[in-house]
Amino acid sequence: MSVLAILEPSHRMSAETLVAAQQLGAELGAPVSAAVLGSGLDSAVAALSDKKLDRLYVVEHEGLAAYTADGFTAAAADLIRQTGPSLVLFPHT
Amino acid sequence: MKILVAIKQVPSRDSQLRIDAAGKWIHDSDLGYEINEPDAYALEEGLQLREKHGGEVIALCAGPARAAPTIREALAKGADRAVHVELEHPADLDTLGQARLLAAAARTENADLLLMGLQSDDLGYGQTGVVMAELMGLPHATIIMQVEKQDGGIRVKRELEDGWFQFLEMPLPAVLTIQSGINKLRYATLMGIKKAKTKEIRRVTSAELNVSAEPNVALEKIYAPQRSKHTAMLEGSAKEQAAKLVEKLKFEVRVL
Repeated sequence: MSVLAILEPSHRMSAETLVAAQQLGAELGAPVSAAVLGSGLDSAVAALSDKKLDRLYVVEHEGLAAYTADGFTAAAADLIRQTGPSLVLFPHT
Repeated sequence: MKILVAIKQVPSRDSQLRIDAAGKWIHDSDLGYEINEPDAYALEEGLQLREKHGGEVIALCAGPARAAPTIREALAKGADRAVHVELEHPADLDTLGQARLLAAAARTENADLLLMGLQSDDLGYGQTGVVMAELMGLPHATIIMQVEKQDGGIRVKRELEDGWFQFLEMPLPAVLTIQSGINKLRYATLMGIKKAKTKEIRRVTSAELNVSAEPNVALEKIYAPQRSKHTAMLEGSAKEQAAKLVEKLKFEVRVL
């Protein structure tokens, strides 16, 4: 059992998603990881470096520089398939 | 351009909503029905694109027999023909089931553009169009405010948060979910209503589409918003009370 929070860097709702993931992780006794997708994610990674996470996945690709639903769907789907979390959380934005 | 518009029939907004005995849905017998509002805008967008660029508009609706007037209304407004996926209990299906059904029906039409409202007024998941596009392997964009045809595809305007917009160029075929207010809705004319009676409505069942309707997500319970009033006394000096009040307004009521 594991929880994965897929975050949108610098969006307030992402902080709430992360907290929700950590609360669920604590309730379920499951490790919590987070992921950021995009291009040029250094500051997003730095902002998450002090958070209590099992792992932070960083998916970087120049095709993800501008948000498109299908690009991000493909990247997120690949990540979920590879990491096999039991629960995936997204911010509703 | 061949344009397929998915429309959903939903309980009308002025319906009295009463929760049924099982607590899982509302009493059907009390309800009036109408086209889902964002779907009406999607239909209008399809009709306007056809008027500009030629082609055909096909209305696609998954629903029980009572959806017939909604389909006829789409035909009266100007859709050329309709596909009715017959489905006795639409509330039993989850988003994936709905999308599978609509995608299977849409595949038989090979449209250039698939339009639908960005969400439904009843369940409001806002996912059906996106899931449908992914099942069909088509590019998609949501919350569309404008559609322009250009060489080799379309250019669309998306509504983002806080007054921001995004412009995207997309190839065809593509799936767009349409925001209410993108255009001005038309009324069906008397002539349109007359003509609608002779237009084709192709009926298919989920068995014919070879789609299993086993839901992955079950609706557990619905309930009306619970209101409870509760008075709290703030203790301490005036200064302490003011500080507590500010804290409550900031973090509990979230108005500051």
